[in-house]
Amino acid sequence: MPPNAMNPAAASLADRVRSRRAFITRALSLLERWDYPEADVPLLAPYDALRDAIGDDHAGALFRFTDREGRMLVLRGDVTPAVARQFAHLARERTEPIRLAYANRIARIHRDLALERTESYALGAELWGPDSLGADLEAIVVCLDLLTDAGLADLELHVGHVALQRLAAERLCRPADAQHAAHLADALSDRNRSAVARLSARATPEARDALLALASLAPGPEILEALAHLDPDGPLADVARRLAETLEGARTLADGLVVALDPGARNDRGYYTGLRFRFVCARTGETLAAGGRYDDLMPHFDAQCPAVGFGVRTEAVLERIPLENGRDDGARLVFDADQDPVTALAAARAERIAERRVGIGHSDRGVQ
Amino acid sequence: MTQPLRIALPKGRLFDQTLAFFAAVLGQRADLGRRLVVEVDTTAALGVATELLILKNSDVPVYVEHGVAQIGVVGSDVLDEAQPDVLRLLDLPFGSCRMSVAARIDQDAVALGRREHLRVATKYPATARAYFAQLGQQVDLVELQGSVELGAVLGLTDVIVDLVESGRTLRDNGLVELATIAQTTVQIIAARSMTHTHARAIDRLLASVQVAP
Repeated sequence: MPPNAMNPAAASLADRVRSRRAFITRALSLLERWDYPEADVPLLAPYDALRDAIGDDHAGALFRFTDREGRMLVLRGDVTPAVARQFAHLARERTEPIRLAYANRIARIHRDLALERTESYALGAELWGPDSLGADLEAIVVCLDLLTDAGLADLELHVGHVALQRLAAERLCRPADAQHAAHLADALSDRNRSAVARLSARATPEARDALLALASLAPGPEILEALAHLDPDGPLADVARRLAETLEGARTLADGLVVALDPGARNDRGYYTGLRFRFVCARTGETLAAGGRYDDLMPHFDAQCPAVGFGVRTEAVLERIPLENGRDDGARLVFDADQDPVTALAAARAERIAERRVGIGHSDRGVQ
Repeated sequence: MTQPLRIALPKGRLFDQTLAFFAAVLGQRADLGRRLVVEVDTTAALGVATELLILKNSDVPVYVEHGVAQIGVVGSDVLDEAQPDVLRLLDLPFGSCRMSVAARIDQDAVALGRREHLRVATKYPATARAYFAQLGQQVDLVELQGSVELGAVLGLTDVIVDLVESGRTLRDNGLVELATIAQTTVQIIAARSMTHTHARAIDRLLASVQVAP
């Protein structure tokens, strides 16, 4: 047998590709069973439409170029706004909730290789229509189901709300000065206890204690009760109560998983407006999937509907599931193409048509 | 099982104070030797074991931002320069300095301030560029890795932008501070993504930092 007949380098590459494909196929099938059909997301989109929806900073992370007519286009980099733009007409035409799933390669400009890669696979799902606790919990439980179905068990769920810090700063800050509140919100976002202590010096002792607790990394759920108590009829109480209900529901649904309040949830994509959740690896803390509510995105595309969704970090998940899921066992019939290539290839084709795996051997690559 | 809590500590001017501080907070002194990763049994105190990583100052935020270390100690000068995506948890009560502009004592400070174009030696190019842009002065930046004072002393540049602690090195080399760009502090930083166990351990650690004398 010629030495290269088994093609080991290609087999190793194929293992990875096959594993990814197997994971994505299984995930899309699972999503379909949750009534999330797969949608085809366009590779290119007009830059202006997305920039208006997600803002300059986040649009800056997309690869941009111009077409022959001079129109600025972006390469698919964040699927949620691209799906929203493409399928907003469904939300305009229908009254029932709309569910969509997708799995596509994306490209994004990143400085941080640890968190996300320049090129990766985006796999996720979106639910448009309901603005309810049930919809938020549906996104969480479908995402959890997808991860556990892939064989991941060692997970934690972190749940937060992107407006919690801003509202706490605005409602509990004294003096009620917009700039002061913005600084306090930034300090809370950074979990900077020194700055929170300084900026909340004139708040009531109860409010100051709550703000300092909110600045910790792992506050207990009682902080939500305290925040609701401090702003009983205001928006902070609404957010705190909704978050408490979400945590309670998620604890029941994610039986046995650590479900923690994430006081630092942030709008890191430019369109999140409420709930944020992340599934992290319980051993390393790496984020494996994340999602949230983005009620203000669809109106940018003339569809008045709230929305929630999630995306899976496919590469991070694939690093944690066994490659054997899709492994090639290497068994094949090998035909030597050096002696009589026509006969060898004809025989190989006949075997392949008979559903057997074949390998073609060549003595060298023809490269000096 | 959760990995040990990794704390990235900076070599250099902050090392001894940082180590002493963590020895007080953790209730035990780490046996360092020449090792760069040192295990400390903190399971009873923090609920998780700890590893101290001994790193170059400017590498601390890199390890923390990438989630290899959950927390680290670093000067705000390094953070302002590199702008890593990390949480800034707490200012520590030591190591404060100021980021300053300095020039030779025989230079005309007023004339330098009026110049449209300056040559600036610094280890902090982003900080220097932002400062002079705010003043409307164009600058040629000369990046140096050490003994930045020599840039101005030997006439390589008009001014320097550097970290000043007491000002003695400047004085000893015939330099004078012209302006303070920012006060700097030593901060505990943390990764944005970590396990709940690590988050709780850090909260416990910081609670003891705040009550430490």
